[in-house]
Amino acid sequence: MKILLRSLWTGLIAVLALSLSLPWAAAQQRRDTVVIGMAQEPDCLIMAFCQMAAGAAVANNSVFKGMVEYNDKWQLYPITVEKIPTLKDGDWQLLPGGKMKVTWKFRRGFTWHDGKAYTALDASWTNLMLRNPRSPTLSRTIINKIDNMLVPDLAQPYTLIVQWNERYPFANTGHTVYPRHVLEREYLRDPAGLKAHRQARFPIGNGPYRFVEWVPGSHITLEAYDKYPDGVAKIRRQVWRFILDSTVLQANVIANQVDATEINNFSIEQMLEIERRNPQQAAHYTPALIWEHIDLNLDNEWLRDKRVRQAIAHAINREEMSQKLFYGKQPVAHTWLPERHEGFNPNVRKYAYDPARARALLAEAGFTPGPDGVLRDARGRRVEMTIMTTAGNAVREQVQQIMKEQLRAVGIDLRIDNRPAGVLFGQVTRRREFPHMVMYAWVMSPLTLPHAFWHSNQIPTAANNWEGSNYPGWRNAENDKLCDEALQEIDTAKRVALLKRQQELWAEDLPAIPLYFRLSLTTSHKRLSNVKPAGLSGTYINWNSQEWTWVQ
Amino acid sequence: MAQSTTAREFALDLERRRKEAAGVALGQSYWQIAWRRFRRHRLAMIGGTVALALSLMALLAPSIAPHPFDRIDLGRRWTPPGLTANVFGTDELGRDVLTRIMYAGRISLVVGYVTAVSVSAVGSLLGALAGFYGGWIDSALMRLVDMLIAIPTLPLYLIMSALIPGGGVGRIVLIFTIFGWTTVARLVRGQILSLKTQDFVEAGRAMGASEARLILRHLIPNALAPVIVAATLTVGGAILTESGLSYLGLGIQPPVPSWGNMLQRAQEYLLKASWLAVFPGLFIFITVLSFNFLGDGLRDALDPRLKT
Amino acid sequence: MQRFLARRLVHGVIILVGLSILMFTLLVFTPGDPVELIAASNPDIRPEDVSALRRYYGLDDPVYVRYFKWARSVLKGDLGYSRTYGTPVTKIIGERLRNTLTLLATSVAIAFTVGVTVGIYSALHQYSATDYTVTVFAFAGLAMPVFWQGIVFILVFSIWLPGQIPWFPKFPAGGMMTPGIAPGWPAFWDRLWHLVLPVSVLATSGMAAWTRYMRSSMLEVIRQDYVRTARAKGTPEQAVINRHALRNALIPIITLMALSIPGILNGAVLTETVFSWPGMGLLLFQAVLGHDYNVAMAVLLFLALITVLSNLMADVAYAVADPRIRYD
Repeated sequence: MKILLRSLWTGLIAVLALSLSLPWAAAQQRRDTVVIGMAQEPDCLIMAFCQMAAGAAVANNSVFKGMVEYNDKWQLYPITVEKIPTLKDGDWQLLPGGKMKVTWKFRRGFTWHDGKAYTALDASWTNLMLRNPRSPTLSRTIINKIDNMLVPDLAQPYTLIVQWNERYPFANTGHTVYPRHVLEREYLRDPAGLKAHRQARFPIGNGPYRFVEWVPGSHITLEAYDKYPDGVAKIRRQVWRFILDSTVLQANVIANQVDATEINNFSIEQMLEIERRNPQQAAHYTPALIWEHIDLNLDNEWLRDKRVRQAIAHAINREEMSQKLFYGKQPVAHTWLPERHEGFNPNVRKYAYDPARARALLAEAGFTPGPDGVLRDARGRRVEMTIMTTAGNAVREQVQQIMKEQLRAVGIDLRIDNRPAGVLFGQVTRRREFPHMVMYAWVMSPLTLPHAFWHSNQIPTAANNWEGSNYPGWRNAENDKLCDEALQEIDTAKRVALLKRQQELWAEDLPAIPLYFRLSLTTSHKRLSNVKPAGLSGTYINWNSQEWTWVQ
Repeated sequence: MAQSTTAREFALDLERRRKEAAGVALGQSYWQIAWRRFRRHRLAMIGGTVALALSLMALLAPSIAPHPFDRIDLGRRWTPPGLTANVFGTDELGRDVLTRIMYAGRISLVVGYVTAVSVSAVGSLLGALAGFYGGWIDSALMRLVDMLIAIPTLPLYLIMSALIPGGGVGRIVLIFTIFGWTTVARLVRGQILSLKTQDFVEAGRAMGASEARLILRHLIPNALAPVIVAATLTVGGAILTESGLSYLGLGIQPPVPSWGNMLQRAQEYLLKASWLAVFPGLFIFITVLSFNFLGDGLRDALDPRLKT
Repeated sequence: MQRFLARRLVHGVIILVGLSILMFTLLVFTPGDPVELIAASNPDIRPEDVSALRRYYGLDDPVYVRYFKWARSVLKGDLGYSRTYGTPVTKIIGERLRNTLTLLATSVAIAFTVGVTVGIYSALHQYSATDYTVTVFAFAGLAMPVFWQGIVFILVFSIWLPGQIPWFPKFPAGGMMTPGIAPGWPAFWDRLWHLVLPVSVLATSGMAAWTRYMRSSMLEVIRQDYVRTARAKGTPEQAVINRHALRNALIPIITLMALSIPGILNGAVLTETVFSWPGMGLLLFQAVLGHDYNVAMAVLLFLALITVLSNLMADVAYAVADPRIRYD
């Protein structure tokens, strides 16, 4: 026993001594690699079947390149096609009966990472595969609007004709393209098996980086693809590291152990701290399309009254929150569309912090103060409301605390009841199981239209199998008409006009309390040049990573 | 409890203790001797005093806290600790950390105490049933115990937290009790097994006492000593486990403050305001430490064999 | 002995089956199934898509049908597919298991060696200043929240100290290896380097516990008659301790070793989360939250299996080490 112990001790000391005396590879940055840290690990990499944004960052921006993509100015630019179809040029045609025809010209020279050619045939096959009811496709909303995709000349398969069944304003944003030769055999055998295909773990793409390895729980390694037609990526290797704890990720940034971060769960405070602690790291605060808000349940007898909703908006000091909690970086929202969305309307009714006005509105609505300072409704019941949000989200919990205090000042007692994100989104919002208020964010895109969020036929009910995202349950006839029209309006100017009118109605009726627009927060090392965060979901920090370089 | 390692250490002594305790009816003098022995245990005395002080602090929080509970002051965010109005500094909403620590202590200590009581109650009852009746009840309960100690408890807590909605004290105590009764049950069962063959039980039987009366009035009180020790260690264990669950986002939910969720929340600001993490961490540490010392002292005091 | 072992084996199997039923039921009734989650995060998804996905994942069957389907495939050696990762569970587990075992074995070895040595020393010098210090430190180790210690270590050893002292080696703030490091010796040292912080965190409470166990076990033994007799016979103190006391004091520790495995695994879940260590604990945590039932079940059963087996081994070792113990 004693000998055993003694030898164990000796071994231990030897290992410690050795480990302390070695020069550490980790300490020196190798400049042929860029390490990007994320607080998430992808679920799979065939994005039509998977849900996590982390997968989209790796797959859709480095390993794959789409037909067209957005740049950091949020302009569409062509990648694997020659140009973006427009009505003016005639390659986007409006046909009678509400149908459309869009013609795409593919560029030659793009290849899949196994060397096979990338053509329009891959696109038309992918469309067929995704629309098959037996494929595990997540959403078929867009696909169902498409009648067919044709490749007229099989010998020269570089032209794709997309026939649309209905008008859709964003028919020029491209389509998903997967390598037919890789997936077809499994697809013919069993479409349901596609999610477990090797492609989901080890994708063969067409982008500037090819896939090398995925060490689950740790990292994904990519390597520059030598035959990328728009120039071989300048940094040889791209490594994605998954560090789930945002504090630990922050420590890694400060210690220069990751060169860039995306989907990092950082708060503004953490970003400021990174800048303060490590001047070599740049923190990017990019305006985005993320709308933080509180849905009000309009079927509640108190909240059914517009004056009560407006009173709540007046009672909350959103300007102070923006200034104090976010250092003025995240602007107060007055409507549901963010400033950078084309349809944003700055001239809607605004609800400034005005507790006196809030109290007046509540009195008008028939509420009277009770002995404990909390209001009583006409039937004498104490006005206690419940607010729910995702448990564990620090910022939302802070906002709740502030709201609790401020609403108490106008006589509304706020009860806080938070649930884990899975339960909140899987059950509470989807089935409208929140009694009064629920706080969360919608992450939108330039393609976002009001229909899914605000049309009255999008109120989820048991009868419609919980379809739709109009969780407040807003019903307004004019709004319904505007939503329907905007969904089919191709002309940008006309569509924007519809959206602006819709927002005026919305702000007047106030089915939800708009809080603020969130920023997209990313970091990158200052010696890493050409990093241009876009702030769009789907366009991650690495959207142009083939152009990144290390400078001295 | 996962962390009450000392409880296991205690289980080690049990085998011996059972033999020793044979025939010793625990009378008045036993507790007097124990108290005298306990007083000599310096660390346990310190632990007991600190535990008492912390409990008083939590109990009296509304009257002794320097600031009103949860008063937000966005103008005083991030005040570092010092000799100002906020001795422990302020947090991300300008709330006084010392005040929050006191109120959070009420929750954390309640979690600890209530878990200890309910774990001991459930464990004693089930253990006594198993020990007294033997047979299939014993086998079934002991298989259940084997099952529950065969897997780490944290994953079970995780699943249960996701299963039971809400985020209050009741839920945490319920979860801790469902999986935490095993240690006490085994201790009591062992005690009962050795006690039930003894004279006073036989005497009780002969005098026609009912089984329930025998268990509740004679057997359990006589098996009390190890349960008291295990319960004391459970207080610290529960507080520690709650903080671990809070770290994973599944403990007591804000706005109800507990030391665990204060610590979890402070993590995000660790580099900016380390005091937010230092104080709750320190209080957890000190509390668990003092209850462990206390439990250790009680064990030595209640076990006539170990110390001379 | 054989009959005893057979009985223990049967018990082990009963425990595993019982656990699998318990776990499966609990997991299935956890609110918010994966498809609802997908649906909620995507405003474009339609009810048809949702029901198609539910069918695809077999979520509409009654619980017992799902359990039997699962149990049948497990008995055939097929642990199923991970819903989130889309790969066979065995493939994911294999890798994670190795990582967790690396972490566990290293910290248990260190905790055991240090704990036992210090415990013995402490017992042989009872009531000395060292003994008191050791006791206080051991209690402190047991009272420290694991995750808290981990975060503090990262702050101190990855950020603060390297920032203060130029020559101080910078410890990695999480992860298991530097991606893209050259294989062979550099990779080996790199992994070792990544082990230092998580192992020291995980070993702390273990070390404290072993110190306590060993101290009390040793104190117990040196009061026994045979030790006194050996001393009285004039056997040198060194020999008394080595030959008589140590061996007997270590016997109960073997059982405790097996009993402490679940507790260590608890610590591993937290340590792996703090240090982004790609092990079973982290995997389990994610699987439970993400409703990846196949993965969660497999990990839980693996952990239970480890515990059951180590208990069995402890029984055997106990019988071998202590000739006084006989099983019917």
